[in-house]
Amino acid sequence: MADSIFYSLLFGLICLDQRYVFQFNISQPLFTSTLIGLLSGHVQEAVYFGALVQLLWLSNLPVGASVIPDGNIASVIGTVLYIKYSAIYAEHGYFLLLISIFLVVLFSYVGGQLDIFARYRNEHIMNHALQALKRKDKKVRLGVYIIPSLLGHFLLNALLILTGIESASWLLDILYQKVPAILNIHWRFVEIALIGTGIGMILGIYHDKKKYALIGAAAVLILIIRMIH
Amino acid sequence: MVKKISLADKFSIFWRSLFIQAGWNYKGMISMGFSFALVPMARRLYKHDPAAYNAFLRRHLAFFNAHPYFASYALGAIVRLEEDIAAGKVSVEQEEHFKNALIGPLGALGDQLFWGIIRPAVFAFGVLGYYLYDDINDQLTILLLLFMLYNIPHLYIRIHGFSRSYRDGYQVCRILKIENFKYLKWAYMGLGLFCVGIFAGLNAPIPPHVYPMEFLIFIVSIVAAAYLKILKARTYFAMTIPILVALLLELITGTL
Repeated sequence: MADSIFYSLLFGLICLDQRYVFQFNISQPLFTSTLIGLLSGHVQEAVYFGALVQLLWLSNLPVGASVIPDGNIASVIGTVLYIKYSAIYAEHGYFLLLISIFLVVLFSYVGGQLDIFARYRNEHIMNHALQALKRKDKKVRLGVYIIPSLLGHFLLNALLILTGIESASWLLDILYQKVPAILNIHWRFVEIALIGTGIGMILGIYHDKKKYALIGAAAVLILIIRMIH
Repeated sequence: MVKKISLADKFSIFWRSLFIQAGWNYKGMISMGFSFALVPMARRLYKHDPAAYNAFLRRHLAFFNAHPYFASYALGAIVRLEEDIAAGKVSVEQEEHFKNALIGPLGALGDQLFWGIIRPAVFAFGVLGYYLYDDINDQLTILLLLFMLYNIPHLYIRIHGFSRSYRDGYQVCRILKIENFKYLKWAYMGLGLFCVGIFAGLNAPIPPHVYPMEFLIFIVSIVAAAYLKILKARTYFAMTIPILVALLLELITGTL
């Protein structure tokens, strides 16, 4: 629980970078999974999972006012769970990867819905600011309205990460006992399916002959090199 | 006396612009962050007039949206126009029309360039780098490269956008076309597509006759995901359905 609280506070803050402050993209899965790996001592597992999730979220475009899945927070939850259970689930390695990815997708949806709630909350804060700005006797400090907005975002992020880790841990503890290890072999292609899905989604956003030609040329070049070697 | 903002004010506006999406909402969109960024301007122009100060901020809380990085073009131009308003050269209505006219180009340009090209390209490079290098020191170097590859154009747009639009005022509209960023666009597009191609080539299970199931699942998941994405299916479906189809295929063929 202490670890979960620590991760939720730290990444609740870092994930503000996703949309609300700076936007240097340090909240992307590659960055956060590497940090989780360094903090937990499980660098290999964290980086492996983070790179897979990053590949899946590459095609996630936050265009305009659209509500997009909150992949960055979800990937923090998924990475923490994956490294936590990778030793426990040694006989269910493929199954763990599959479940962790589905949990990332699930929590990304929840995060997206929480973002809608945050946007309406911000509207409420802005209405208060508009009311206050009708005053003519004293200057109004807008920072007084920005800070609660940011604090609200931070608390929502932290709460989502904490409840995500704890609830998914409870689920994984149950699944470990219920799912027989013998089924694990049937999930052995999950990694190649994930990689294919990520590549396919990127092809889906660049559906243009010239772009496909460049991707195809690079792929063929590497295939030829691999075959020669 | 014509009131102009100082260099310190410009730095303050730039720093505040990093929080431009802090209060994002459906009614004003980025207007709360935009107004917050303009506070140094309000202080400069209406230091001793609380009513005008509040009216200035209230005016800029009206609906406004732009890509967060390209909003700097609007900030610089508005700062320039506010100086002209204070000097009586421009009316508030003219400024509002101009600001509304900027919404479309700033949003479209930023979305196309950064969300559609630069970000996917940089992180495709990162994924490829992580795939090629196992050592944590190499991966940290890749992260540093990623950070620079993404944030150099990001900060350039913010800083150049503000300074150029402050200088040009109304004329800033002339440069808000994707053609003016074509070299940036082509460079990152090329990087991203090349990295995706190399990654696909490295992961393709070859030869197919040795790895038939892996190859089949690889192709099925690529085609399914691309098809769903082109059909503009929700991300959750485009992400999970190909994986489920691929695994179902394995279950069926494995049973047979």
